Amino acid sequence: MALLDVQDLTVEFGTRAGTVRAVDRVSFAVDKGEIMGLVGESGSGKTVSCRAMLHLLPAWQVRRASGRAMFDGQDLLTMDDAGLRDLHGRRIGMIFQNPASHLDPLMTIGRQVAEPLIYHQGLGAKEARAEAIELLRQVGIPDPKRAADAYPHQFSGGMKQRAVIAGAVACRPDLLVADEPTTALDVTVQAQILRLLLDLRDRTGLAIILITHDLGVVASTCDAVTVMYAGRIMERAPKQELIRAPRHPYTKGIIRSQPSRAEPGRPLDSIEGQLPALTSLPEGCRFNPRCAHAIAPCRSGEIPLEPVGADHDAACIRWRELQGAAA
Amino acid sequence: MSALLEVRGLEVRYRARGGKGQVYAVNGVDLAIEAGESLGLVGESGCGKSTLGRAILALTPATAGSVQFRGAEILAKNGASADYRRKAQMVFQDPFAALNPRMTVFETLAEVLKVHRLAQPATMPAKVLDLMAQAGLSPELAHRKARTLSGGQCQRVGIARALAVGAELIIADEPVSALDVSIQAQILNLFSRLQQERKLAILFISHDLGVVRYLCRRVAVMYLGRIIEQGAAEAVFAAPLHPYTQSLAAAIPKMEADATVSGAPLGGEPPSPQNIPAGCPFHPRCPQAMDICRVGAPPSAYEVEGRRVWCHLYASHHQVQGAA
Repeated sequence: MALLDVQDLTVEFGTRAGTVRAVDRVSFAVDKGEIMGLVGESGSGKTVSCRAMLHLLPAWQVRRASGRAMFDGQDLLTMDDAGLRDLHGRRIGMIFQNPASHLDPLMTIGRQVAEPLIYHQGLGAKEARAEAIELLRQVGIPDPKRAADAYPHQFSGGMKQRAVIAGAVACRPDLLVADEPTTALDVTVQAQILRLLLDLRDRTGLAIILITHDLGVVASTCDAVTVMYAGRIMERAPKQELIRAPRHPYTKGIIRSQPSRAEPGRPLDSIEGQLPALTSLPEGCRFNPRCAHAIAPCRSGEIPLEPVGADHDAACIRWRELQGAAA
Repeated sequence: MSALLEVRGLEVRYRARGGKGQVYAVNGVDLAIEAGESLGLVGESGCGKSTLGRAILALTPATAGSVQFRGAEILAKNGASADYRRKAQMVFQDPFAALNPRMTVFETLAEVLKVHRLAQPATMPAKVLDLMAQAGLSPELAHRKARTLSGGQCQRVGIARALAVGAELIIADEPVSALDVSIQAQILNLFSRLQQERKLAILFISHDLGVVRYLCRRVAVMYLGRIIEQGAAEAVFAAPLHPYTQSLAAAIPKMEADATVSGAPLGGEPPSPQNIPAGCPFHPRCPQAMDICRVGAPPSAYEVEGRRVWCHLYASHHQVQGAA
């Protein structure tokens, strides 16, 4: 059984322009020790799905959050706040793009890393501090004793992200939700943080949902990938399969438009058009206005996610004819 | 043939906050760009690449060195003439912040033409629409306010604004970093087309080596205010010579099915320019550091395989004037 099994997750927001559906019947699963990449552009719903699941969206904004998110037999969506508080930081950790905004500037790093240990495991201040120093050492912070007494402003971006990771994994959670954890970091530091996440997974069997827009990051770290666009899942597959044999024209498009794969001097295969606004989503396949292969049936009705291979699903009615075709 | 833009020994130095010491943001940079050429400037945050771009446009005062545009000195008093202000333009990273949100696309472009007296009221609409077409903006966007445009559309307006004044040199500071992947490729194609059709010279500042490899013929790699390797982009990325370029290239996540995170990523982080290590500034992180690297930086760059490399490892090669 999967550690986390999300079924038909739908999230609607109330806005001045009316109710918008940011996440539309999204299903995915994550196993113990698995790194699942949740890939998409702005407005794809990748962050909203995870935040809705963990009750991290402002209540006044959410008009509806339906479906199921089964974590170890319990539905996160219907769980009360006390139940979630118990899971947060103990069994589910979360890290974010901007580590600075998730650290209290007036509290020492050591104290912040120790906090979940005191709250969840009832450790005394002294024990918790010793444990925090050990955690800081494990995430590769040099001179962890001194670092524990430092304040966030004394840390660089990469060091802050390491400290946030130390806090998130302090209670040995089963699942880590990492929302663009390396986007704000330099490439050499990004490689260090990705290495650290992989090591944590290998050592502790941690499952990770890695939310990212960067296909390179996905290719080098994830086991499975779920591709989202405008609130819906377009395709999901094991990582190698997705990169070698993408089936959805959108996935093909974003892979082919990567400049690192293109030949200099030749035009890049770009996806024309703009991302749709959630207030005016197209009928049928959400990608159809930008898809070079769209035909009349793509423009109306429900386009279901269907199996296209082993563990491989795509939401395209033309995937069979388009095998081998360009984006 | 002399280059369109020639930068020699450029230095931008600030007094550190609190008056303690100096910050060398740009520390003796030499580079040249010819008409119609694209030079990529890559490096991590704090390496001075944006400061260098701004200093070339005289938007940030340089403390030493020279910048020549078509042989004329820009940094001299009254050097940055109105002509240079037209011919050398900047395109920014955050396309929303670079436009007035309450002005329409038409007003934004017409203002530039009016200020520089490049169009009469009668010819204005045709001129603006022509600029929009060149930047790939459909005419129906003319009366949309900037705040209602998407990131990619805003960036096109930013580029059209640079074209409006007849730019010959564009300094583009991370122009696609804030854009979604599916939009990035569109803007890169636009740069590439303009460069070929209008013989635009582009200094393309980016932390994304993949983007630079695709768009630029030559590349300069910066670390702590210095250019440490410069040469043909293809060669630099295929077989980087400087240990820093090697680590940087290895750290880029590869878009391949069997990609992995490199086994031993470069340790540490770039030190702050306020606290540049003695000797070669890269030696504390360098996997190949030798004793000499801790003592002193290379006196100047070496010419290796047609590239300029600022590293002691290549001391047996021919020395060239200036930095890499």
